[in-house]
Amino acid sequence: MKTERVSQRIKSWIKSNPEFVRLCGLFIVVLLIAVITQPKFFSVPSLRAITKQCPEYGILAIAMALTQIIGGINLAVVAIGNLSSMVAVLVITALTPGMGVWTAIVIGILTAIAIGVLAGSLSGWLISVIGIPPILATLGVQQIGYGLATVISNGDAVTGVPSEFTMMMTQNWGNLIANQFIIFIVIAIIISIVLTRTNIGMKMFLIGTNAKAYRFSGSSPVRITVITYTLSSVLAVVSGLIMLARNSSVKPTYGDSYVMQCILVSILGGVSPTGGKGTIKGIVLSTLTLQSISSLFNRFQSLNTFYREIIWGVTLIAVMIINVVMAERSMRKEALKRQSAKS
Amino acid sequence: MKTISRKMLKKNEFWLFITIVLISLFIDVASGGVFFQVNNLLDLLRSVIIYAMLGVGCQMVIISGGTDISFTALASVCEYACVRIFVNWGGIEDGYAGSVVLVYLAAMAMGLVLGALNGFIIGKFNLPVMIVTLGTMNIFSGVLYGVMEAKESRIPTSMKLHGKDMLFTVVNQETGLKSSVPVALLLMIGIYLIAFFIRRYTTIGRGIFAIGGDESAARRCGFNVFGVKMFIYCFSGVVAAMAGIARSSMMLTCNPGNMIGMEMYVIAGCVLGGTNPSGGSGSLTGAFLGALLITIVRNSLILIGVSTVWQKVILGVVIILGTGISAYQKVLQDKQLHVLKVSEGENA
Repeated sequence: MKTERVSQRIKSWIKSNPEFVRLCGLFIVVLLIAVITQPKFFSVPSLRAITKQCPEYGILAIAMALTQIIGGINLAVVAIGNLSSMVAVLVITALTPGMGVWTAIVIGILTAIAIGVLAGSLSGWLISVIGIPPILATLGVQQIGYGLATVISNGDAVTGVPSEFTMMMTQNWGNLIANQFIIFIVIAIIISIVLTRTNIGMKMFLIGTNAKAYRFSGSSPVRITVITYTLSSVLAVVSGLIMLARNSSVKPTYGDSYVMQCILVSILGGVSPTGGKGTIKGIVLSTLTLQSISSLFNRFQSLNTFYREIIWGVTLIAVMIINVVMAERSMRKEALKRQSAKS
Repeated sequence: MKTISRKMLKKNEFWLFITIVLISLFIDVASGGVFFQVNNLLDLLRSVIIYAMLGVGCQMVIISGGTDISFTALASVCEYACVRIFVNWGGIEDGYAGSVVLVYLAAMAMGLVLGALNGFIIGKFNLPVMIVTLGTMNIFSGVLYGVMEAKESRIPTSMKLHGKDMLFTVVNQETGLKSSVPVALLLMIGIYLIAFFIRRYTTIGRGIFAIGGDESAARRCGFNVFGVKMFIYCFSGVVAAMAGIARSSMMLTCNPGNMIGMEMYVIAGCVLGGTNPSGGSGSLTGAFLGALLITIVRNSLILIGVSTVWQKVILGVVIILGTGISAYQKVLQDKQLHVLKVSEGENA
């Protein structure tokens, strides 16, 4: 009796989370391929590499997903991350002689976050009050962020990160899990709670599902939109700081390809590109999947990076097509069932 | 007369034209009278050609309710593939020397195929245009650099001759500077005329606007939505491929990657030209004026002594201001409409 209920519950869970289940399948397949072709895949250095590399675009993907959930997109994530971490380096190097390293680092990080808040609320305001479509508004913010970073650095790399900062962000625990991975997981848990258990999270999904209905229900989407874009930009800043610590320098063109990659991660993780749907657990899993595929590629030296671009592009389109086709099929099945039940 | 002038004042193109004139005057004064010299004007005309050509295809996609960002990568692939084919044509030194029309036709055929790929994915599965074209952009540029291993290359004789073929040349008597306008200008005008005809006088053309306005309504009207979408992306692909060939002909060398990144300027130009970024409306005059404004901003900053590192910042501000003004107007209009409806309801 009890087992039956449990199995039924699992069945209904599978039915209501088709994207996530498919993603789990993909993850297992990737792991199997990895184990078969690379016996050393589960060795400590290999796992360490994965936990070191994935947080920066995992956090960017969460930032992207938040805006996609309310039916928008944030093309400015990488530009904001670069600009703010560049300013952070400059602030830290300027203040260190007078105030000591740690105070300088704290002030630097706070300045970076302030820039993120500013850029994010600007995007949110342009979208919700002025009415510019998200793509164009964030494109404009992206150009401004990228341009200001170029002006500040003259297009060169900015260096001079104190080793304390690098250590704070990237220190290893037990020779396996790096600090940035812990930051990633903590952020994922916090955002997941915000999305599923708070008023703001629920309203975000409502706006994404049907912005017009939300407005007609008497609430203004302005506040939620501004909050979402601000949150997204602050996450972008965190990711920029991690990138800064990992590379010990920052350049206006760093992480250009991450915009594409984090859209891919969030779509693969089951976020609907038209809004109203998405989970953080899906994004974490799809980040790990993509990182595993990526480190599989790294072992094949003959594949140059441009082939990787092709594979990302094909994966992005294929995942979207599969999701649409599967959703249509299940809808047709439901309709047939209802019809046969009637007759 | 009064109604005509009132109509003019309401037109977005009119205000855009005034803005362009004001900016031109400002640049002319700030640069000490360089802007309105014939050389500078002809150089502007020369550099607007490619933007304006790409703008036609791009605007068609925006009108149908999507944002295509893959067309410059598509153009680069077609451009580079054609250059490779015709440079090694039949073992002739310096490549194919016959009519350049064949080169254009080959590029257009490739553009058609790649555009059809975009159109099929977007039309068949009803996916968001921007994300699909983000994927195909990556595929195209991956093919360009990975499979074809693109690097700077010389171009066949026929393209060289085509690039050196000028409509007219003007020599400045004082400075001795020569400026000329290439034949590609005629190509651009031709594309505008064809696009104008298709958009105004054919069912497909009206379908583009109908889909952009309301897709499900267009479907119920009997428009073949999938077919119209296929046409839009094929047309956009063909035009982009032509622009690619025209560009490397004009530059007398094939520099494969340097068109990628232009798409944002082209899109911004279209939207500045009054194309509704969420679809349904837009005029060809506006598209051209928008492309012109972007070209002026890009080309003339150096004239007034602004360092090139500021270019992106200023472009970002131009995008936000340009789209913001028309978007905010729409918000205000909607509010007015709402107030009108409410007061009507009270009267009844």
